[in-house]
Amino acid sequence: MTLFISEPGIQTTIQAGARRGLRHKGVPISGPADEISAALVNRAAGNRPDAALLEITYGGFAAALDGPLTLAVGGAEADITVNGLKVSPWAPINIGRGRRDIRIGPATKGARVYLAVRGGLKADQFLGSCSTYLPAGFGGYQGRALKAGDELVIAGTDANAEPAAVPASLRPFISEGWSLPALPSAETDWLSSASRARLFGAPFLAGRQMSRMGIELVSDDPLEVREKGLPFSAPVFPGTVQCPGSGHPFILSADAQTTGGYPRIAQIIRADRHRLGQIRPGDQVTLTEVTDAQARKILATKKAALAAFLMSK
Amino acid sequence: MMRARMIGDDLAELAVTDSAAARAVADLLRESGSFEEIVPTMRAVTVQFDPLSIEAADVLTLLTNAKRDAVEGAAGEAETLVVPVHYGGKDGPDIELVAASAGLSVAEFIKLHGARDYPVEMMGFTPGFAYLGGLDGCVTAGRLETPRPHVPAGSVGAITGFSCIYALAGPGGWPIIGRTDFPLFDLDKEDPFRLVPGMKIRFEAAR
Repeated sequence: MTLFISEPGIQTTIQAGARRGLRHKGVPISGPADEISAALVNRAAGNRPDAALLEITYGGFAAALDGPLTLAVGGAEADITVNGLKVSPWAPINIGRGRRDIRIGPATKGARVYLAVRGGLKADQFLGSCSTYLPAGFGGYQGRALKAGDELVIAGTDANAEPAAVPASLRPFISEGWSLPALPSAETDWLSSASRARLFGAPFLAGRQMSRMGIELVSDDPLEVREKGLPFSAPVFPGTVQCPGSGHPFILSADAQTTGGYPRIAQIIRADRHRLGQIRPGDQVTLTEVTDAQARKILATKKAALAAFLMSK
Repeated sequence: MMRARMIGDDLAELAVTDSAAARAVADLLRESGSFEEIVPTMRAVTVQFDPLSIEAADVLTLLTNAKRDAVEGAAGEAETLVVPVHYGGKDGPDIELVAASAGLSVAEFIKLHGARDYPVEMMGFTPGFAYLGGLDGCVTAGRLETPRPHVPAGSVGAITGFSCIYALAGPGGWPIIGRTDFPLFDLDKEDPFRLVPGMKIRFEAAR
């Protein structure tokens, strides 16, 4: 069984589980930039949460496939059609026998649409994960973004549950304004007190520099930071907010490099990092300072809410 | 003095004196099995953990205890790798810039670069990227104004105080002085990365 890519869109890659435990070798975790949407779409298709699926940046995607099979689409908001007929996101889409065209329109809200095929996609395993890491060209489909004419094979090995619609309460809220809970980090005290107050509370705009590595935050008034760089490169992670000399901070995402030389001025909390994958240029982004205890409570609540559906058979 | 502290809800960092101390602490922490990531760098060890599995206070205690108990490996035991480098040309497009920063001709710079051993201080930035300490103080080149989107695997770079090796291709902002064919990555090995922090590198001009 095969998925024939006719329009890949701006950037479509295969993503699967995180590539964990190798940051001391310089290896990013990768995986879906919005890992919760990806896990829910996989579950809707009846797959394991970390089965290999497509991450389609900004939509604008089309492919042909041979039924019968089941797939699911979700994440950023976009129209989905099968042979011209509109179908719903976040629910199993059953494709009958014969050649069908699936089309995903441009994303109208959010940045990344996920498409999972029941059984998962075949992909190159590299250092323990099938996720594509474009800068070094490994994982996924030949380590690269998909092109028109690529033929993806359905693995058939990753189905472990009956396909099921994602309950409305679990579907991530895709917005154009994002309030991201964050904690101060290693060099937050390098900010002037006025800049610290603005970092936690004032709105920024997501800039045009947006990729799986990170999101630039822009404002009219650059932040004032005591030193332009660290004397020694220090570890950074998805969710780390760094501030270069320009005073325009950026938030690192799934493909974040493992070390960096800019002051680390905040850390988006673990429970909310998946939302970074849906921020698009022009969106409004506000960091909200929370305590360690609040962060843990948000994580526990979210994990408990998702577990029942993701683990259901 | 700053010791262990939280730098995020699932991140903690311990200040140490140098990369050898960081490695010794990291090795000890790995035995605990409590962490998702353990990243030793030149002045710190940073760990990532699941806050629903281990309390932050317990993480800080583990870090502080590891600093107290860690035993550094003896410096004399470090393995030395001889890495042949194709200097200059399309393999090392920035060698003139780096040599000029030291007030040297390219030939003089190549001689200088091969004249000492460089300890692998840490791995990081991109997969298999090795920071090598101890570059002669006369080199004062900085990072490139515009990073390259693609630096070939095996590339060797140099900036003030450091040389570097790219085990795999990736983006990069270091001036590139040459490239080696030395096998730096082997997927058939349990640890596919040939360079390991603590070992020493000696460069020689490839023929």
